[in-house]
Amino acid sequence: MDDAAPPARDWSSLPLDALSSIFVRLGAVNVLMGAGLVCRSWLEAANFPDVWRSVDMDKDEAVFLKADAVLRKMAKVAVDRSDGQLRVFVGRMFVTDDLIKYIMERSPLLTTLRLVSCFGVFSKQVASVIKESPLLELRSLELENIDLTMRELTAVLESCPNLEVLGLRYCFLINSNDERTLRAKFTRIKTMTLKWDDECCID
Amino acid sequence: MATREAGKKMIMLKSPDGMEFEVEEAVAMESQTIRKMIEDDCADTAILIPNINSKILSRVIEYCNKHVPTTGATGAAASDTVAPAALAEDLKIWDAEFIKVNRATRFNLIQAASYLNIKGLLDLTSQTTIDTISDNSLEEIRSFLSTKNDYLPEEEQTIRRENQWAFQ
Repeated sequence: MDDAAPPARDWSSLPLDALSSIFVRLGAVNVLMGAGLVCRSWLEAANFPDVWRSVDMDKDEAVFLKADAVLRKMAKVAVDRSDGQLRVFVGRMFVTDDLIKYIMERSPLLTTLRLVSCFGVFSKQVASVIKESPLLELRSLELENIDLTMRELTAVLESCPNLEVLGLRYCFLINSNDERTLRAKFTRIKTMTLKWDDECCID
Repeated sequence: MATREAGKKMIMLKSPDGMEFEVEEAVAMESQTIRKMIEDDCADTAILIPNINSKILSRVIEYCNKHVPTTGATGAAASDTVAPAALAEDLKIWDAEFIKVNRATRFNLIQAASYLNIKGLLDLTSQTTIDTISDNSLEEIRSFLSTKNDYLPEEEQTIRRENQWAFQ
């Protein structure tokens, strides 16, 4: 169209509301990697807790390029900026128990947690943290390619009294016998999906 | 005072450059800001919309007109005859046409959508900006949008220290 004609606009003068709404849809990683640092007003908008209600660090390019330790640092900054407002967290590979603990201690409103290919998570350390203060708001827990045991999973589920959705994919330490036990023990979980490969979907 | 026309309550919106737009109340209430004014009874006479010129305001009204849910006299949806999917598809095509504007207009529309609190319009207008910003470095974003780095040298240092990942 007529993109050439108009005078240059000062994008730093966008209202903070509009900016934060843009940032919400831009996603945590993009805001942390650049957009949130462009200038003073953008930095200010990037500090609105509302921007950080949902932190999805799963599919952005940076998640695959940056070192795990850097990604954990970024995740912690996101959690800090959410100022207790974090509802959704999605992480891939870089997530450790230390980070899970950090999130859980600071996010009383967390409703959705999805972790992909993280190893050695949900140890006793996390179990005791959430036993102490259960995840009352957590409604959905999705774990994909996580090496947790039945005992670890049970401990987590016992501390999520209001969980409605549990999805396990490629969690090979949990077998179909365990599935029966889980279904019998946690009837309050409305939707339970366990999947070990793409062909067999047991629900 | 708002007038009545064919049973529909009308509201007068005024732009700072003196233009007046008479719109259905339901259309005006697509804006949460105006809705609040009406609900708080602050809208007896014409509502002055500051900072939004007539050119932009008319486009905003055009958007709201298209997006207001069509309701009958009883308040029940009158669009029952049209499949929701077809309706959504139609809106999507209309939106795509609507947003074919130059950068300056888009910028003004973002500002207007933000001030008037029209979520759909804000989403629509900021999408191109989001596409521009996504997966780009700080310097690239600054140059695309011609935004100035307005940090003081010491602020710049702190930002670089606290956000090292963005500068590697």
